[in-house]
Amino acid sequence: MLVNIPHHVVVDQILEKLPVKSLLRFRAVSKQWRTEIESPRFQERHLRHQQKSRDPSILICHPRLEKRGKASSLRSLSVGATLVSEENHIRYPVASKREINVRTTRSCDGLACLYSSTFIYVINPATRWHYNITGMYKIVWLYNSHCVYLDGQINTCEVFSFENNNNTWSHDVIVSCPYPILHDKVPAHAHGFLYWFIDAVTGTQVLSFHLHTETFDVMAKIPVAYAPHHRITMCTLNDRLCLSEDKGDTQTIWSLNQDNVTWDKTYSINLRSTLNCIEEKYLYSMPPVASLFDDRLLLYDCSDDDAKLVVYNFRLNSYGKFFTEPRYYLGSAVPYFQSLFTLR
Amino acid sequence: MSKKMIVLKSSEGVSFVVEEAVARQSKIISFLVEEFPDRELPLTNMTSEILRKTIEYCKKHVVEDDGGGDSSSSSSGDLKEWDVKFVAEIDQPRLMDLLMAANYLDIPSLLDVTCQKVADTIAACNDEKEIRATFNIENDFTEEEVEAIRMENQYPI
Repeated sequence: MLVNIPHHVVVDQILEKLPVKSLLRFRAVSKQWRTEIESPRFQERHLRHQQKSRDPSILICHPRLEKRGKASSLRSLSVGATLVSEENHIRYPVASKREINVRTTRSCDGLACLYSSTFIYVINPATRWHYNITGMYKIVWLYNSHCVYLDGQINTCEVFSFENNNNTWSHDVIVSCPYPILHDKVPAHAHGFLYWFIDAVTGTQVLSFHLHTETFDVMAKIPVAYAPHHRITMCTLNDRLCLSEDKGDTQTIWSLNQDNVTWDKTYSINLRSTLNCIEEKYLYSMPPVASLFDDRLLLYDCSDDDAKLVVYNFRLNSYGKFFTEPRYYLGSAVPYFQSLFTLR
Repeated sequence: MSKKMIVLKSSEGVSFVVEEAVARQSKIISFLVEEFPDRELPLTNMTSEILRKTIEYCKKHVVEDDGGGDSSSSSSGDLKEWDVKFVAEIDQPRLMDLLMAANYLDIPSLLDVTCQKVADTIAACNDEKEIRATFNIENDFTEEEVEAIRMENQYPI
């Protein structure tokens, strides 16, 4: 019966709606299905559909190896209407038994990096595909040179290429940055840019790096006034750079409009009434993990020793707490969209 | 002001008189009524049953312009629920015919809901054999090739 339907309808309209797990298995239906599902054109289309029709999954990396010491453990969570539940438990083999600090980067097109001091894997948590990086890749390294050279004058941003086969580094771009980088603040990426906070004398500013042109730029005007650093954080929501400001009772999220470099006040979260997490132990609000459909955000609640993921409806001001983990683990929660992508 | 009506004729020659606004959700019909006004449109590859179903869907989804801007006859939440019920009540051969009709007449939202239903049916299948049987797809793989794909899905741990 499906054979009567035009091929492009089957591929473009029907297969794109299937989850990754089904697609992987159903490559075995016929040669035509396999060719389509493995084609870059379909994989691109499938990802775009996932992005616009589904909430992201959440990846949580356990920084320490499992007891046997041979695998790094990741968990993927799916966000339902009111529920966060475990989807998958993935183990990645690691070379050394002594790895003690395994981390993940943010995700891009369903891929993320799993790394430690001795390895870098590119992983796709949806397909369980992984690739031990060899060949050439680039690392953007920012450092405050007055800490390094004690000349107190110039702060430096550099881009290195690392040739893994020869184990050699080469400089690509070096620029001086007017102000020190706030090295304890987690950077963010959105829309082909990397972002860091820098500490200008008059207030906090944002340094951006464009990945395609390899150029740095300083955004002097940000909507957040000078404040203790722990009250300002950055994150990416809906592929836009967001700044989160914690004012004690409320957390305000601003998002960057890339086209005209203006800031929109996107969310205002009432911390006291909704999360109930202004307590002794609660030091500052972390930025939202992800924005979800139906006026919802996925937030952290770190009000007690166990951290929780919270599904928060900002229109109804209602919430549900789910998925408790020791705080140390949960901090690594990374949203990603399921994709069939691999590195080619 | 009376509403403009057009006539759609099924493959059996049965005429359906529908409001133009309802029928215009089909991009093809929308184009045809502009090119050939006051004509009845023969839809020779659609049975009366499928045409009736298609019109039922379009009637529910018509956006009425009541002067104060566009307002749908139902809220979007209700519509979604209605859509789910609409496709749930249709058996598979007719669902396929309806999907073909939505594709032929170019009604994007109807194509989307029918394709979603087919995708749900596929996702609910236990293995590739069940999909082949359900949708009458010929297996052109050898047993070894199927096994190889199965192995590929088991990334080494």
